[in-house]
Amino acid sequence: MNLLTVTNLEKSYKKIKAVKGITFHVKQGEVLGLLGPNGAGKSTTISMIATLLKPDAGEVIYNGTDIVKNPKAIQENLGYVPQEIALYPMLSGKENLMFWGRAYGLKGNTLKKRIEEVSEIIGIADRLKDKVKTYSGGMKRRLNIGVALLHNPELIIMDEPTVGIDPQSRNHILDTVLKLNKQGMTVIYTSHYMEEVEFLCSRICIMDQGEIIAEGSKEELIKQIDGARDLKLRLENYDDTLLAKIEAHPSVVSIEKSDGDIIAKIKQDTQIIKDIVDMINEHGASIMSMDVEEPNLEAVFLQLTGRMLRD
Amino acid sequence: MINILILKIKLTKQMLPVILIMTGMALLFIFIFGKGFSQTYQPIVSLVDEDHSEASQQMSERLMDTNQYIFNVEGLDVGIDKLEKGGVLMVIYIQSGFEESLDTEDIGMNIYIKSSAIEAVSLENKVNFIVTELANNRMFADNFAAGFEGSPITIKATDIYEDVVRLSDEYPANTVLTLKADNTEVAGYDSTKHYFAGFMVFFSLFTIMFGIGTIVDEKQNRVWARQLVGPISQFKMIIANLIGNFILGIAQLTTIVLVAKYAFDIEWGGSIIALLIVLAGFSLAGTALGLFIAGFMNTEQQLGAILPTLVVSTSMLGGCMWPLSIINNKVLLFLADLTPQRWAMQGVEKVIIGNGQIADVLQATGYLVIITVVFLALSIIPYTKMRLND
Repeated sequence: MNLLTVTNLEKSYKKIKAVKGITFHVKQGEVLGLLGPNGAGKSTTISMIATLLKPDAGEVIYNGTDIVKNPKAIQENLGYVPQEIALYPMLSGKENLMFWGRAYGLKGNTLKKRIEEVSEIIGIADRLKDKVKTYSGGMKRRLNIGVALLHNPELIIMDEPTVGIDPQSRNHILDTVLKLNKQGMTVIYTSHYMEEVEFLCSRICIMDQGEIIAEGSKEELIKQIDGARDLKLRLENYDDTLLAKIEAHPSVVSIEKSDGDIIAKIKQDTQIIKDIVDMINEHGASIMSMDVEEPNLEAVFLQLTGRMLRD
Repeated sequence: MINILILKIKLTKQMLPVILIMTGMALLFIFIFGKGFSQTYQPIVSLVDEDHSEASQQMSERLMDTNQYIFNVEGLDVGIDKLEKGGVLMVIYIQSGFEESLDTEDIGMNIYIKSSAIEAVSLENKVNFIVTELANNRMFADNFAAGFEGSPITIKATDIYEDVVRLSDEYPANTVLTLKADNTEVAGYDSTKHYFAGFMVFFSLFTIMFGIGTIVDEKQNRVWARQLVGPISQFKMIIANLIGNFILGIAQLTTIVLVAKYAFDIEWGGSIIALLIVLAGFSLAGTALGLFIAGFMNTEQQLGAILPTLVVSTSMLGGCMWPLSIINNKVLLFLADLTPQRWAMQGVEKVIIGNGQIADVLQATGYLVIITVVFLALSIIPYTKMRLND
């Protein structure tokens, strides 16, 4: 069942069209990833879903209600984790949680209980009384997420929640998101880190220049580029005739030299590796090393746009 | 809304240094002007009377009724000499023929001033006021006598002039009464009280404006946006901020008034309640103005650059530094009317200089409420824009 349906959503800032009529949906209980480089339109898209921005055109239907016309329909059920650390640094972690909990109508024992639960989930229970300004970057990020969980929202939107933190905190956050999803929470997760999206998301929308250029599960997206993988070879006693012969193979997309290595982009084909090894042997060259890199979303993005995700 | 109010009170700790410095500065200046100057400083003025007429005598008597100056009656040469040596603030020279000149536009009087000190300007205004009053009395006597022309009763203006003067003193005629009402600041003007009222208004506005400026910090840290995503309406967020800051402002002003009264024996005039009413209006109007300005600012750096300039310039314009009675430019006076300080100063001065009661400050407080409503309404523009076009 679709929890959220976005149709032909558009938003411009003066002459710049930040979002160009995108359409996608979010199923109940899934983690949907919005993957794209900086400036792809991810934050603008989720700001419109979070009712912070009014779209120029299009509709956002949440549980059957158009939230562009009726923002209140989503506000009480939405947890929003902005990219920035939107907390009061001069207050303690507990004071922050209390303020945001009350803002969502929690009070008394319910609020107290939720603060305890959430601080356990995000792993800051022992630092609750300290001022937020004394927290590490990772702890602030975790509290930033915790604030959005207090009212037990049906849908949580996370806008690049791991920017600028250490790997340990990042892993903690990713595990937390998975845990929340297992408990039934629907998540929209934006990032320009391919690994995070691959790890977390059951479905992914790849955005670039205000458009969704591909959508599906990781496997479906890779299929869209014929499962292309990189075959990395280090050879001795070879010349360009061998490379030309390899490139002529129907399952080889391209071949190039890079820092002494030969990188062949190859299609999903069980025979291809054996064929290439045979060609090398016939040519009399020696294989010093060979490595097959599995296809990933970076490859998908590269193939679709001709650019890297972090260009 | 109460949640935001509690938050604002907690965040006040963050502003404590600013609040303490501004309150301390206001109290320091009140102490200096209230205790240091008011009881010892009386400028000396040379009064030269060459007319020796009834009118010049009245002129002198009325000037001397002002207890803020010491008048030395002496010759013109002596007076000018003292003025050049800095021994006197001003020389008031009543020329021979002064009495007759009151019927003309060319008044036989000269004023010699070397400095443009506030006391000199204030006294000059008072002199002009007395001359106008004397001229009006004479004109009234002339017109009264002229009314009997052709009747069997013959009345000479010179015969009834003394009665007119006496009556205008005992039972001020409407015209004179109106003049007095319009010139309260000039007629009974106490510059030291003006100064400390001005400093109180000026320094407290800093706290009020910077207090509401925490919204800019919230905008910068995206806390404001995060609140907007939640179920609290933006209107409630704005009102909660307005109330929180109003409480902060009135608490500071009340502290200043009470500490000055009980620690420095400062006399706050007719009614402390009246004073607090007008200051409450000022706190509200200052907050609304700050809210409006904060709506257009995106960073604390922008706010830090704009606010001091705005507070200082509007305080000058609004009469915190000098009385507006010395300004003739209509454009400046119109602009002054738009500032909260102008009405705060009017209200405060009515209480502390004119011994005003609650009824006397209602007009000024009313204008402050109007300013509040106007800026609150105008604030809808930046805050709505912020939500929809972030």
